[in-house]
Amino acid sequence: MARSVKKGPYIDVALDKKIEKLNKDNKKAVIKTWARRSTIPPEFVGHTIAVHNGLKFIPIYISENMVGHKLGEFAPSRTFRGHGGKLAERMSRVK
Amino acid sequence: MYIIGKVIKPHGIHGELKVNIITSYPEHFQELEQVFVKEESKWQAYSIDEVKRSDRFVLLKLDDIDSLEEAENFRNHFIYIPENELKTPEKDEYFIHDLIDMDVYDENSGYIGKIKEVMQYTSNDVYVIKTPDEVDKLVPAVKDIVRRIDIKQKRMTIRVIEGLLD
Repeated sequence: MARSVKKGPYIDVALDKKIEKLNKDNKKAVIKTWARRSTIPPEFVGHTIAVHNGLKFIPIYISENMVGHKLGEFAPSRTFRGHGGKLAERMSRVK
Repeated sequence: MYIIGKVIKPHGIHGELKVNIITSYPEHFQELEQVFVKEESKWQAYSIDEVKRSDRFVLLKLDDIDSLEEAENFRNHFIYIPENELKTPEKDEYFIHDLIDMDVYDENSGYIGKIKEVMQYTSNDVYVIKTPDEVDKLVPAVKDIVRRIDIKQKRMTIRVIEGLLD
């Protein structure tokens, strides 16, 4: 069942405060969090948040199209490394 | 030689192969004239007869492979292409095999370590950097942080922001 609209989105309070402080100081820093269930509000855009995946903190750069999703969606807790290894014709893009 | 796919199983009775795509450019299959398969540590070239694509797989028909029995020999084999057939990367794109073992430097404090692995996530890629004291550091592949990549010198320069290497 979807969350009640009356309550509004769930945003982790501690994380929200930290981002608010960074925005106020116009600073950039990587913030570690375990709050995978936290919704991404527009204020988070442009920040890098290290989301815990159960083993390590995955640094996730928040972009506009991630608003409204949960942080945990971008740091999968099960990893499939794929076939081919080093020899695969795979590309990495710097966003 | 570089891998672009892996044969999962034969498809049909006319020698077609169902291939799992292992490339960032699936359309590459339609542009190639021949591919290579490693058979008992020797490279064997095969001309491509026909390619049909779905989103995750390719149905590949190779010349002279016309029966289910012949196609069965390719099961679990990788499909290779030579280095000169690789696609040319676009701006801000780099082959993962070029990034592996690259030296990473901070703009201010110097050497950090070597890239051990590139993890691909939906939001951004993440470089796993192994420091000289054998600790893994994760760095997101974003322009705010990755400042310069020199493939020839195998050198990457990053801007370390607060909390990045903690």
